[in-house]
Amino acid sequence: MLTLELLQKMLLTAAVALKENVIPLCELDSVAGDGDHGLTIGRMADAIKQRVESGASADIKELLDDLSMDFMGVNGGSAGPLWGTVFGGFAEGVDEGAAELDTAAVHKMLEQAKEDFMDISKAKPGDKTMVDALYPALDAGIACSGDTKAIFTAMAAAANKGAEATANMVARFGRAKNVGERSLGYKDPGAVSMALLLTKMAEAI
Amino acid sequence: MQKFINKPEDLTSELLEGLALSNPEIISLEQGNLVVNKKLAEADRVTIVTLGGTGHEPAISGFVGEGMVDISVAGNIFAAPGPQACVEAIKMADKGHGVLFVVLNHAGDMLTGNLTMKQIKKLGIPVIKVVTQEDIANAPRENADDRRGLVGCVPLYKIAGAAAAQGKSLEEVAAIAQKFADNMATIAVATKGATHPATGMEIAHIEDGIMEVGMGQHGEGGGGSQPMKSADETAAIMMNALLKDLDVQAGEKLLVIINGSGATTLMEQLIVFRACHKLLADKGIEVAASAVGEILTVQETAGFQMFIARMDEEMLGYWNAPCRTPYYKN
Repeated sequence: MLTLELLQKMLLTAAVALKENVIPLCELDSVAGDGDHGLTIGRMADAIKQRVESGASADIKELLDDLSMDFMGVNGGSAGPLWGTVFGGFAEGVDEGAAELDTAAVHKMLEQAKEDFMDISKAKPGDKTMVDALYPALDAGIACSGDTKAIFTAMAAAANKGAEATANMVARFGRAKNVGERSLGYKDPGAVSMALLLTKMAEAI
Repeated sequence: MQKFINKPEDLTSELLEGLALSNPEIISLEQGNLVVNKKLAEADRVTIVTLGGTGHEPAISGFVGEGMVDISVAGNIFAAPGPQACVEAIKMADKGHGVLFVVLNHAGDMLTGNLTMKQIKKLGIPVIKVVTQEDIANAPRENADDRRGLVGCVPLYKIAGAAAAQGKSLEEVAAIAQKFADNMATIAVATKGATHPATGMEIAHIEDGIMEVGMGQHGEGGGGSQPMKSADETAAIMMNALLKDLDVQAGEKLLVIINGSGATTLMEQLIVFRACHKLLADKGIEVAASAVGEILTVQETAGFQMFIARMDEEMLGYWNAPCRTPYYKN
């Protein structure tokens, strides 16, 4: 069962790891981007820490929604609005007042996130973006009929596989697409940070 | 590259404060990153809101003021701001006649623009979004979605601002802005990349002796690497490409802008403009209006953007209308 307490632990664990990876993510982003992805992710990590430690969110739905708003407001690249959309989708997929989520409820959360994300993003699998980690992860989570740990572990595995695969892709979306072949051999930072988030969340369970 | 900055995390807030403090009669800085036309409070017309990353000074916040932009929502260096700030800006800007929301076609700006429009719909404020996507380098005219928005947004602000100042309706202002947007074209060239002020990392790398035609304005390449040429030769390559893209005919009038990217001297920009003027004269095309200088820069990038827009009497009227912003006054 996914409880508020467990979710808080998962998020805080992820926040620490994200913060530790600010510089590597910047370096990765300077290949095909302007090198600031790590900075944005660092701010997202700070937002997570602040929100969770404040304890102000009453339940799972509220925490996810509050984080969504926090992410939307983070100054930096598109990661803010994009993660905001994912978490906003998670929040929308959770029933009002739910104190703990079973497998079916977690699936509903993941499905809503995918729907909301597809609604605002034109990026497709293979474009070399965070979508290459996110969509496989959400699909794997939805397909997994185990408990919370199994679901998040499946998500993390799929996200990592997706992020690895981006190294062989030529960017077809966003600023990076103008760099063409120069980005071959390097993973997409958006996919890497998404995979890191999910990996650490899974590890904390 | 050593820059006169303080802490990297304070870059955007400090530059915006500096802009507001040096132009106190024209603009004010609100909610941290909204650059607001001081005359907005008394406005009784369609208003103009736009968004964009900082790091391109004077663009875009340097063009807030009477006759151009009413509120510019400023993001971090080269990064689009989030949708919440844009929603706040639109709420603040609406004076009962609706808002023209100008968005440049870059993935981040468009994401924020779309998220903003979703929320605005729920609030019921009349807003029409116009997207600028005039860079001819990436894709043909038919694939507008792949074309980046470069310096063209700035003359568009002027055109739209003038139409709004005349008291035109939101639909009319949007139609005029869209017509201008559909009849403009830009192409950039760069010979030296710049460094991101916050990270210090190179945002583009160009070999010595090479110029990259079709360069983006955050260091994205354009694919047109070739040995460096003279001003006249380069101008010809770029202007001919622009004329072809817009299908400009003899007898037509153009607005021509040479926009320095940051490290190319005004001297060079003027020499390039001269070449453009002669080339156009030879083709029977009139330069009815022009601007040369740094309008939308990319830090210390060496290079420039060449811009043309098809002009008629109406558009020239908007271009020549008075305006008062920190970096453009008429």
